[in-house]
Amino acid sequence: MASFNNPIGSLTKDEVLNQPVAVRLAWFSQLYFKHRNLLEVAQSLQHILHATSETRITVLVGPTGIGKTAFCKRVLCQQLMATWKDSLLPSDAPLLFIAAPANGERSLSWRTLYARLLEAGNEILIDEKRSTTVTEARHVVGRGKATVAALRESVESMIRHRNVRLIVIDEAVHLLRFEEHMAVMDTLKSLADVHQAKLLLLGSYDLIALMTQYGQVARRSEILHMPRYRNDGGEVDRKEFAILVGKFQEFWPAKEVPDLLSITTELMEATLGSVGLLKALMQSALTFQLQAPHEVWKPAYLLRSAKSNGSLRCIQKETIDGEEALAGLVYGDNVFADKAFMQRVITKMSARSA
Amino acid sequence: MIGLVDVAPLMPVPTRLYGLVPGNTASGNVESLTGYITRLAGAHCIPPTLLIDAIGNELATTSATFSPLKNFGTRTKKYINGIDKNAIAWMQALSEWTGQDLHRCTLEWTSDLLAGYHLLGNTPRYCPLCLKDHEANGTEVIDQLLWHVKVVKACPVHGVLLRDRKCGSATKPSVFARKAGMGHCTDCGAIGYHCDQRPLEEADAGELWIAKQVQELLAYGSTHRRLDRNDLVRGINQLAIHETNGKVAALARISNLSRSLIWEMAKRNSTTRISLPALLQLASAFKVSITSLLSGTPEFVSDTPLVEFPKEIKRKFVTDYVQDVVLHFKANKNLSLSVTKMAYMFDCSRRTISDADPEFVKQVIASYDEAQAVERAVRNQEVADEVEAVVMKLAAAGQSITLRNAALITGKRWMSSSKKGKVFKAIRKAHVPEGQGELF
Repeated sequence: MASFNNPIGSLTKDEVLNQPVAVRLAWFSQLYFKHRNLLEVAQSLQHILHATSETRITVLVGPTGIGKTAFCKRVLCQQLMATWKDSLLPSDAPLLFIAAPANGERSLSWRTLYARLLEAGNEILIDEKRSTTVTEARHVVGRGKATVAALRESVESMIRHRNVRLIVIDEAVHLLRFEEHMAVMDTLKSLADVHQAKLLLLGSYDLIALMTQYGQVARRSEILHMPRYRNDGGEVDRKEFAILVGKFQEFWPAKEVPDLLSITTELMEATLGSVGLLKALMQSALTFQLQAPHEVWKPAYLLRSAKSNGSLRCIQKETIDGEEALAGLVYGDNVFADKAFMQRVITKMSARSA
Repeated sequence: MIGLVDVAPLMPVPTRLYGLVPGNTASGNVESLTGYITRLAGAHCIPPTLLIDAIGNELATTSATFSPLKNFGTRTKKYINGIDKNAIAWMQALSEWTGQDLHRCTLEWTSDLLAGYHLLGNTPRYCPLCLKDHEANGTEVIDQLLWHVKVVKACPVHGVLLRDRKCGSATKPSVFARKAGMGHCTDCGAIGYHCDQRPLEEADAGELWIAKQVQELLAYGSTHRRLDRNDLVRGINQLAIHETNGKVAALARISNLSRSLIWEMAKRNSTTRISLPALLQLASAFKVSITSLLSGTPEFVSDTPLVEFPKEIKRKFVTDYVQDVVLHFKANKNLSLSVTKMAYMFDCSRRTISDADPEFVKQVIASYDEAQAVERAVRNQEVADEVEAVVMKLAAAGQSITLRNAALITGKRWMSSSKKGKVFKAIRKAHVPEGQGELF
């Protein structure tokens, strides 16, 4: 079992059974399981984010609630730290993680976005930033503090001096709300050009349009998909989902453990095969159980924990539409993916080497 | 494969400020701490004053003895670059906040041996040819600590005189629009000081020698954490053995320095510090390099020019500190001011004081004595008034005018041997006829 860095996480299942309800719920909440789809995405990202890769902007899309944010905050961080730890300096901030602002304004608030980037980089005196221009061979400090130009200049300086290698923008779909897609992409592209920093945008399938409309962006970008496990995806998907359900059952922090494995297919249907929705369902059902007298398990808890049919249909429609739109656009979905094509390549290369 | 994922580790928290590498730390052209701060502030896109305020406010909360700087002007820059105790706090705070060792960017490592006076100047200066070299190499211009040392007038690399960073232009942009930093004119902001079209001036042999000696001293710091008094003591004694048959006082006479100063510098357990000009003067008189003197093995260089610091320095030396000396003597009211005592206070020769401007020194002493006399008179009058009032009170109360009664009525002791006692006796005589009553 992996070791944990927080006191609750370091408890074993036997120890946590003796803890109060709140502690057990918190312990279950911070459980995080690696699974096949997640590991595939992690492997692809590792290659794309390598320093020598030419890809500057990567988009990670997937159904809502699939676990993109949790993946970045946990698995990606761990993976990147293992790669970078020997080359980090004390002043380095190699990874910046922010959420795109959605603050009700009529146009995208670049000032807010830049301010969040500066905060993520542990920057000082953000409200006092000044821009500098060169006028008639003289340096002139611009009027006004914390203007968009000043914050942009500061962000670029921070990326250089903090040796930022990856900027992750969560909820990147908020960048699309204002139909200034070209301006948004141009600005993001220029940010990705500063000092070898790369961009990773997380969001729903709506981000696909942003990446595919502009040739300049398409050339140096990749789309990664974090898919769900599908009921019609074959025995392999069902088996993987079953293993996940088994893990939740194994780490269930109550004396009476429900037999979740026996209803794997039903759980898959209720959560559309999404690991995030499955976790949310489990968490909610556990809460009901632990608050009940004598912590008796009842299947009715599933009724009260699952998403409504309407919500599920909405998510399903978006997911299906998104999966269709992704056809041929995802990283690895290229000419070499065609089996016949690949076989010809292998045959020719084997003949040449022989 | 299913496995549990560690909740952390998240990315480590970076240092509060960028870890800019200080320039040329292994050579005598090391960057100054104020230049580093300015460069750091520029990287953070904020004015240096704000950065200074932020650091100063934080240091003030953690240390009761720390005083934040009021501004980032030339005077305060001396404190940060020099040997002031606050300089250590600044240097340590910045080292912690940037993760860089900034020990070499100040002169604090010389504070065990070098005195603070005549160490750093007020005027910011630069070498135009060093600037051109940076531009040609495409490297960032740095503010060298060497240019802040008061006695350095020339560039040891190019042999030209250093220049003021202000062009005196009448058309200055708004103070808020001027960017601080090396490489821009402080007055008009011209990049590379293109506003200054004066021809370069060659330095003479003495100025060049001084600049090279100070550059070597700064380079010496890259291999020695601090200056060691024992090494200097050995150096001076070796010099005396070599040059004056072991007579340390003779070193002072030949180099026109104070005997007490040289004696103190030759003692291991002394805490006296020597000024940089005095050290240079000593080294020049015997044609040795100051670093060899500081390392304990004087090396003689035959073509060393003789340098003595001009009278205006000595004059300023006296005027800078005469106020402190006067205050010191005032605190010790029984002392009188004299050239000898002033020389002792300044750790220099009597000739230094009197040579500075004998008339000026006489004026200082005369006006000090006059001020003392006036003060004495005022104090005497105050005592007389007080005693008179007590005597009148005793007379009005019908009590006998004795010191004991005066003590009872005022609640203070009145001694017959004290000034008040003597005045009491004199005034009492005026009130009490001869033969009547006792003083006690």
